[in-house]
Amino acid sequence: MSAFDTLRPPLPGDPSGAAYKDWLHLNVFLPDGRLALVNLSLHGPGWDTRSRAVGVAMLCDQDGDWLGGIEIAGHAAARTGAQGILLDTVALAVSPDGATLHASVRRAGDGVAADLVARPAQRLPSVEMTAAFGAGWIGWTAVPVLEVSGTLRLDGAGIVLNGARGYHDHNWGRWFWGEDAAWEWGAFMLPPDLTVVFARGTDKAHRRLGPAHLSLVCGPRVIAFTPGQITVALERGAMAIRRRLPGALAAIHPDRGMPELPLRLVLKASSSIADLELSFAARSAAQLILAEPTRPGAGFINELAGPCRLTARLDGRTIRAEGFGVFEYVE
Amino acid sequence: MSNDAAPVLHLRGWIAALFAALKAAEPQRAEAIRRLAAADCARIGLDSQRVRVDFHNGRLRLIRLRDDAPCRPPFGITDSATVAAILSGWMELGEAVRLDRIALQGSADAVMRICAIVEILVDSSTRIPAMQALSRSFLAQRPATGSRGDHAFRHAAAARTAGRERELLLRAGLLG
Repeated sequence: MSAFDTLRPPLPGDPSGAAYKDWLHLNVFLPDGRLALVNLSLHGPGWDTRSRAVGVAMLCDQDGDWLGGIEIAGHAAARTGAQGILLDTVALAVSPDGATLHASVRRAGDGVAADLVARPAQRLPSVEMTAAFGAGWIGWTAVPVLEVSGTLRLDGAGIVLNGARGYHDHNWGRWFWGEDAAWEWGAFMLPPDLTVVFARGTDKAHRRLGPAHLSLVCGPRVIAFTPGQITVALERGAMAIRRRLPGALAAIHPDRGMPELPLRLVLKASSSIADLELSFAARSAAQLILAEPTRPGAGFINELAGPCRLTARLDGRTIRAEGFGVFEYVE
Repeated sequence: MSNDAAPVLHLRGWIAALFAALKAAEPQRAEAIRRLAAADCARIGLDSQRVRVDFHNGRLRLIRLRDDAPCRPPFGITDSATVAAILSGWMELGEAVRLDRIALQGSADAVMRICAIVEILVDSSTRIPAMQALSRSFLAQRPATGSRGDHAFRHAAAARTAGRERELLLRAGLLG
């Protein structure tokens, strides 16, 4: 049985198929504080020639610059399997035995290349969630703790990874970019083996907030908090986006070049099993603009990278750790 | 980098193909461009190539001018390196204008109509595969080295300016 989920394409004749979305996401947290992101997504059903496949491979370096780029192709040009999406320069696919997730990046023009293999670091229970989203719905599964090995090449310099930490999730569903639907999501890695994952749906203005989901992974244990046990505090401010892709869409949305973004996030949660407080400070931001291929509309995915701090109480002991995280603030 | 499979298009041929693809897929947007252009003409330049653009009897008319021909306003002129930097996200459009990497001249009304036309083309291209293919092919035939360039330096300078602007607006009570 595979540790990873399968894509969920619509069946022929599905009346909601026009709104089909599906994507595979991988974050790799390098030991030196750099953050890599590989994302492959499908927008629209395979039978519509306007449908797109999008591949993103980016790395946030120590200076806060986002290297890498984006590939946009027709759906028909993408090679898709039950557990993979492959474009010419970016690919994510699960091995035939279902045990590992492979990422391949070949973006010579951007100075970025990678061959990575990620495997679950823990045998954790599989969780699948579905929620209303805009006029449709969104599904989500995650493999939150990965060990990632392989090589990265940045401007010709090779970086060998052996057991770097990673996070993977799979989103799918039916919605149109441009609808009044968005989300907040974050994955935070702290030593030695702590991972915090947060998510909630919102409207574009982040005023109508859906129930929050927060989990603390400590070694093989997963402590999930219910929405009523979680408080979220966001301190927003104007933040210059370091890189906006694709550039053509950024050019016609100049108003989104310096949005109000969460400069600081504080998550608190308390249950009978554990308490935690995690603070995250955004150091650098990139923006991915996803245009709806079948009608006007776009979604703006702001990726924020930065350091985080955790104080937690678990099994009667206090845990303090500092690490690095990524927070996605979608508009 | 060259694309041996696709014919090398002059700017004139590329604009013609782009508009034809738009008209075939979204004729209402093509009509919107025609209305924006009205009876005016404009000059467009990329690197050394120059094209005169207008609508004649309701049809797009493109006249290839000699290389590096001087242009009467309204015109928009830039180079492949700037286009590559913008498309790869290393330079914002406003920054390109500020740094004189894009020359836009004409009356305020004419410049705004040129920008509106570009916006229609870019927005429509997100839904029209033929337009995307044309853009990819066109850029692949032009030198696009050094897109990143001095991005970090420019970003730091821009961030300082933006910070001072924000302080000024806050002091003036113009920011909520």
